Amino acid sequence: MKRAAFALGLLLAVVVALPARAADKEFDSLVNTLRHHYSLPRPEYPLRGIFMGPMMALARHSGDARKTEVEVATFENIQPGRFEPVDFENTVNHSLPSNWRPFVRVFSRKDHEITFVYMDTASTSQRMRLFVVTAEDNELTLVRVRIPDDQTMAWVDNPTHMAKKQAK
Amino acid sequence: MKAIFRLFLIALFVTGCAAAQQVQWPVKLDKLAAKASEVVDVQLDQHMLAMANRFMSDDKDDQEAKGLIKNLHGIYVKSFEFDKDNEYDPADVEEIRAQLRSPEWTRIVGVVSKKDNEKVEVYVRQLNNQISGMVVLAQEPRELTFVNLDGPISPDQLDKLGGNFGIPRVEMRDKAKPAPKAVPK
Repeated sequence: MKRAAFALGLLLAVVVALPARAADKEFDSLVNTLRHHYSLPRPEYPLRGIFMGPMMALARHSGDARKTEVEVATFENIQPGRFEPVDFENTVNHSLPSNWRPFVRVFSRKDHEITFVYMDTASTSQRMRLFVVTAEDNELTLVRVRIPDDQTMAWVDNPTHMAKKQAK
Repeated sequence: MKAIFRLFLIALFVTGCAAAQQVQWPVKLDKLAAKASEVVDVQLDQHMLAMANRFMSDDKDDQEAKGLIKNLHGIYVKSFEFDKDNEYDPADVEEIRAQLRSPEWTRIVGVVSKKDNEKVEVYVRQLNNQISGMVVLAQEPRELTFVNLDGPISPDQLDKLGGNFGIPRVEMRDKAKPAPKAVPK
């Protein structure tokens, strides 16, 4: 009985995780492009652990409009000054499918930070999808999020702040 | 950034009238990015605003925002912050102001603060007796902001939009006084 329950649980995890992995291709593609272009160390995926991955996938399947679905990748210990603004912007732009269109660009020399926020303009889902890419002195963070409808304004108004909150 | 005249520039445009003159961001002002300690560029075209509108919830705040943006064709903000005074030449801004001297544009607010060395101007474009666009131009010694709202919007609505969509909050009611007359056409 225990073995059957375990097998069933395993099957459920696989079934739930497979479509999630397909959806992650777009995210992974950008992560890999940036990693190779800038020769970055291996990224961390804070929300893709053994437990968090299936939980996120289940959240995705549940279709609960109140839940934020987030994908996060972080590169740390990067050599400062690694991201030249124009090259960085071009690299990110060319790595994302054309349905992702930038609507916020911030270049802050004083905070040593570059932020781009993209909106999925071809989304057919019930919720808005945003991609937030933030390069700091020695850290690069990528956040893709599917936003609950009651948080749309908060994200559109201040995507950088919201993304940082999610990445923590 | 000072609370009083927090910024804006709106660049704006078109509105269904092909002949309407558009306010263009002068390419030469992009060079300011090299001197600026911070550059913020927000571009929400009609399609993106419609997407945002579609996903907003039914709560009161979102409904208010929905009402504001549903008729807009675009929200464009460019803001430059500098470490030192006078990193930009006020004459550069003239190129924008010159575009706003066309007949359909009227300056409705012009505030100059000698104390803080700040200047804020609000222009509206009228077509068929309706406001079809608004531009805010804010200059401070260390900051330059353009906000361009393309589409029907009232000054009251600008007040409400402040703080949203990257548009700086402008306390127009308390601080701004109408310009004595419109900019010469």
